Amino acid sequence: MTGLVSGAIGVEITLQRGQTSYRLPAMSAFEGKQIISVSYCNANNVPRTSSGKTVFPLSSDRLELCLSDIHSGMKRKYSVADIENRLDQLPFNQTIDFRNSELVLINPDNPDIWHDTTVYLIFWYGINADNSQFSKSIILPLEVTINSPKIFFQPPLSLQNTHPVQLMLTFPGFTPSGRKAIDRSSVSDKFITLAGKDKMLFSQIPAYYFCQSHLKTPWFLDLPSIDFEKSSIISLKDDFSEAEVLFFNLMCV
Amino acid sequence: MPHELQNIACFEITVPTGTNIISLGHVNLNDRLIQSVYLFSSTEDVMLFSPVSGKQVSALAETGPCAIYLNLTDSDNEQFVRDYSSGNFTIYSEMDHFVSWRINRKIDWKQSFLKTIIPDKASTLNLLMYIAFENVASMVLSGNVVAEKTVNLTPDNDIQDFYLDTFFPELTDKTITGINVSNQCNGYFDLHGQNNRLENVPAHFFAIKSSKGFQIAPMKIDLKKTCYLHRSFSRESFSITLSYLP
Repeated sequence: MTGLVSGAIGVEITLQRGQTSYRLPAMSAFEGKQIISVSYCNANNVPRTSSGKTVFPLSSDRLELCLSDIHSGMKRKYSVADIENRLDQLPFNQTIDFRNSELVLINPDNPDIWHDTTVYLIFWYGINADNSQFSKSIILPLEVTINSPKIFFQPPLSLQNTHPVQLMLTFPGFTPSGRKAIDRSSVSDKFITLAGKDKMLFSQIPAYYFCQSHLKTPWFLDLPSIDFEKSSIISLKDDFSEAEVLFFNLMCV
Repeated sequence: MPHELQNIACFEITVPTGTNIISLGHVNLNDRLIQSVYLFSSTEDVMLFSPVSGKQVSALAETGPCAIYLNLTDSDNEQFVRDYSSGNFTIYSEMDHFVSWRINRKIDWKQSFLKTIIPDKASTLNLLMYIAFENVASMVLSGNVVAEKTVNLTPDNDIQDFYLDTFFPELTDKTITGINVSNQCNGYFDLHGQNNRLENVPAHFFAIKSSKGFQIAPMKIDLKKTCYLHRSFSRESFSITLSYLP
């Protein structure tokens, strides 16, 4: 996505045999928010949703997103394949009436393959802007050890009172302290929730979207602060006998 | 918007195995306003030789688990980059998997360093480090008509220098506004401008078509000194396009 992002929420829509049109769930967190981007999680990058459901395994060209603007009532159709694949990202700039918006399965062939699978969409809100380059920024390290299904960030003191503008996940072989870090193949079952002072801002976002170096357009945060002690990572793996370490860099101003 | 390059200095970095601190004290750019620092790595499919030593540039992704972290301290003695993972600032020879950044500070290179962790069973790494900096205000070109000339070249050696005055003689004394290359352009541009120097810049920098790409600042170039340095096993033909003010 482009622009300055102040929050994002993962939305799950589970498909059922015989049904081709699905209303998007009404979510109060989106009220009054300007959607600037939508991401489609394909089953290769995100095989299961944060709640553990199997992600829709077929091509995204079977799907269409029909979004209703809350002010004008106008409906606009988006090819989900375009959302997923277009090099120049689709522009979104609307406040969406989720109750009148829907996901449409335009090719319902082979229901045995897709029945009871889930389409996972991320709605990003904030303001459209050229990706800003922040002068006099600083870059800090952040290691997170995962040894249970849900862990909270363990921020070092150096992150207190920082104004974060970009959180970057990478896969170095070892962290600066010499611990072995996870590789990219192990990140598909991790989801990140970031909290602000008094509310969740980024909810259940696949960790994949924080690998900024692999994105066509790295994105920036538009937040006064992140409360890392209330922010968490969910891991869907079954065995926690060996801890995993994620390594981030945080750009702050 | 591509990142505009006014000047680039190139340094070959040798990274030994084990855990090491590699000082950047040899970087002689203390009074320059630094824009960015990048590492350059080969890939398994596009292996390049160094324009400095002629050695192969290591393919970082193929070396197994290893770690390189950048630490920078500015001229006001603030360590403003701590343990920045090379995964963010390494440009691979055929990909755009990196994060663009702007530093906009003068750096105390004696206090700056790379922290490296390379398993003992791996080989010593040979990488290139590029430091972009500014020295003059950029020329503004809005509304100017720009012309282009493209030449096709075919290398017949692993190491071969193509001086640009041979192929673009009519561009002598013209202001060059852009470089574009085809994908098989496996080498470097060594550019001598009137007030600028872009040292051994990978041609791949100019092949990146996403918003992370690079372009030269408009400048007059001494074409007699400026060359394209082919440094690879490839014998595939490639093209170079120069844009200029007619």
